[in-house]
Amino acid sequence: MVSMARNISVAALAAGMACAPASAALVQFMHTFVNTSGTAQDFTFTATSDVAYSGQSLFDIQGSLALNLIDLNGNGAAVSTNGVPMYVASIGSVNPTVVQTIWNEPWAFGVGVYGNGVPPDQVFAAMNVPVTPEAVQPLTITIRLRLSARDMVTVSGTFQAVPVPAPGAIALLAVTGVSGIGRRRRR
Amino acid sequence: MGFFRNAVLASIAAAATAGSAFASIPAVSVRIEQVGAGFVTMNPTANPVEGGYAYSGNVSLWGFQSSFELSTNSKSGTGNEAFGGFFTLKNTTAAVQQFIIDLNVTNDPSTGNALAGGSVAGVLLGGPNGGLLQGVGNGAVWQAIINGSSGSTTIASLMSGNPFTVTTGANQSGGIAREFFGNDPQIPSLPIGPLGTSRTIRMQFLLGAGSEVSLSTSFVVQVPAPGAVALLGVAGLAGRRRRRI
Repeated sequence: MVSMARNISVAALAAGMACAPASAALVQFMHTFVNTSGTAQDFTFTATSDVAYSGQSLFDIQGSLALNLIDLNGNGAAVSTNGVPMYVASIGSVNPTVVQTIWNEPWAFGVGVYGNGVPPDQVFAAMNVPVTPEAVQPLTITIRLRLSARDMVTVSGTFQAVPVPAPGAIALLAVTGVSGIGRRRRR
Repeated sequence: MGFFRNAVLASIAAAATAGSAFASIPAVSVRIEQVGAGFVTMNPTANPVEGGYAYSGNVSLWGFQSSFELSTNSKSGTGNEAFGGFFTLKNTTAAVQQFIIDLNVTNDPSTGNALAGGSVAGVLLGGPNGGLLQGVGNGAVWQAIINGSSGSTTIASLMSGNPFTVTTGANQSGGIAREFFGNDPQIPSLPIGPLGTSRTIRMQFLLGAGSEVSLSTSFVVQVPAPGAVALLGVAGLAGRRRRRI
């Protein structure tokens, strides 16, 4: 599921997004933003996983972000944050928990006349990240950026999360395992 | 007096060079070949934008999905003519595939010798088994080609290696570092002789199963406008005559 808010006419390239099976929900995209106007514009892009967890409070998460900017009208190009982090990864639907941000405000990247370039790659991974449990817990990436006039930028991001079994569930699994071993021994 | 006259002629010549604009709408074609499967050629419509034209399109065939967002721009202040933009390609198969991409644009008729510059950079999005972009053998991933009546000439090659290789982890995004020719930034500086009738950005690479790549690329040229060439010729003749006297 992909949605995009914009305040100017945008010629968007096809966005590729795939979702993994329920065992490891995944959201990923590659999207090109084109500012066809004569002034800098703000863009918002949202990608959400089709698979949603339910009632989970701990997750192991990982993700990445890369960006490619180009100037073709001969006056340089710039992309920056617009008051909030450029990349926000969240889990949940009603009160989503933000679990990771990248390129926090203020952040900017520019290229010179007829230039192009990529900033350093961003990769993250964390274990046992607490999340407010909800009935429906999709993964969401929200991209917000400001792009200079008549320039283009491609952004590619990923976000993957796997729920961590609660201690009670682990204990239950352990008990089940022990009883299974005992049963086999008795046989 | 002679100095003043030459100074005026030189300034007029410079102004005429800088005032370059497209004499006709540049025609763009995009040819995508999946080696072993076939090729498709698209001729996108030129949509006017400030200083030039925009061209976009997308196609899904055999084992790929592709889209492009290209533009041409004539900078009146410098006489530079830029061509480039973004080209995105996803390998939708379960095996590595080889692709050859030609982004072609027609040139305005010109006389005299041209200068050129260009660049390429990108982002790679890995599939479930990781991301892979690789040159074919020792060949360059990116080439700038001038096409004329006497054939085609490659004037620059970028992203060469043994082979050139970029990888990412599974379901992970990563950048492909920029390479360029000409000055940095690409204000045209490499002498390439006559510009020819068209110029081509050729990209040739292997793309991993499920990988998606977006390459930003530019090919910028500068050719003295016919008026400027004529004025420079007049200035040269005047100087020669004065030296004889």
